[in-house]
Amino acid sequence: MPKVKIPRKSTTIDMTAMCDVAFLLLTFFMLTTKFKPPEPLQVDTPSSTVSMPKPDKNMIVLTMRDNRVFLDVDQQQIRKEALRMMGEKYNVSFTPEEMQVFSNLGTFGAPMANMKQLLSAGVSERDALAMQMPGIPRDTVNFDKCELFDWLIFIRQLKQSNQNEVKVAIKGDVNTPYPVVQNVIAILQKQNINQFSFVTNLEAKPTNLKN
Amino acid sequence: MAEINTGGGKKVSTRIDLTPMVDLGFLLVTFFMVTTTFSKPNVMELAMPDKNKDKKDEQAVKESRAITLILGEKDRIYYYHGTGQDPEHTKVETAYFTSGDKGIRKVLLDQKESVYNNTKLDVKERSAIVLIKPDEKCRYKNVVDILDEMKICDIQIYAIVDLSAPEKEMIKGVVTE
Repeated sequence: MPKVKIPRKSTTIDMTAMCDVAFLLLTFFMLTTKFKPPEPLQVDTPSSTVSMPKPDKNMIVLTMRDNRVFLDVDQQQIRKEALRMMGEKYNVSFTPEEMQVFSNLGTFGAPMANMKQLLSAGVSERDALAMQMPGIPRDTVNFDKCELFDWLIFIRQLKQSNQNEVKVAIKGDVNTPYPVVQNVIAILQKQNINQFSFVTNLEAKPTNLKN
Repeated sequence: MAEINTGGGKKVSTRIDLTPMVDLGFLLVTFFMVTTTFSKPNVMELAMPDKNKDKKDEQAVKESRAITLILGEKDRIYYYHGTGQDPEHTKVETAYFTSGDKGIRKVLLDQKESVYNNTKLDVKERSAIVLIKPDEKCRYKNVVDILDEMKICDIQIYAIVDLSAPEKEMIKGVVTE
């Protein structure tokens, strides 16, 4: 039988196109990536089917885990002012450097008694120290002595004087005991914040519902 | 002038092997894909009744429209129909956050349907009212889950209410399997 001659082809292919695709994707992901800022209180938020994105601006975020409540608010100027007002009320004075550090701090959970210690700590120790903070002190009965209550009052005053409507979001860990949630809600309601939101992860909406 | 010897004028191919570059490219793509967070966190809105408002314009909850859910320990839900005015004659049952037959969703949908078909009620009033009473032992997840359940079952009227002492007694005696 005559043999069919198969011409030997080179196995190397042109990689240019593949290279193009790879780098196109790479550029896309590099641009869309947003690295998470370090959080002193890591929480696992519950999931829900509600799909309403969390606004970025003018939010007071209360992070809860176990018995600790941490707070975060945007806008550096307001953070500085709020810290100054809190310092006046609780007799702690802060240097401009400490205020600057505070304005970039993100979520914090330091009582006023420990605030100076946290802000004057070195950059390397601060993260570890921030994690150990016991949370902002809350008082269920006496709202005059409740630091969380005061923080909220001052921040809202400052935001309102800037004509910004501020919203409160509660970001809790799934295992937060309910009394803590109840206490936080009571503090909010005490200053007439009757509308607030819970931060959740998105989960698929069930489809097998009748009617 | 001296010329650079390129091997007797033989042309060297300008093509280079791109395989390592592709490798590197995909490695980085994988890295960014894994670290990227596409999903932004979502928020669930909740409005609580104003405590300072005078109670004049508030209406009493009709027993036949209401169902009370008590969020207990270990992700358990105790529920009964009505508002528990008469603890002696109220039958408390249990349900879970799962979706099957023992799930709270079936209970809520059944309640919604029975209120909707209740001819004794005025047409305007044929929607269910859910009272959510979290116990001290329940966790935050339960509260969010039950609020989510309200959205899923499309229940318009619901409220988070504090648990009263007689109700604590009521759920104590309930046998759970």
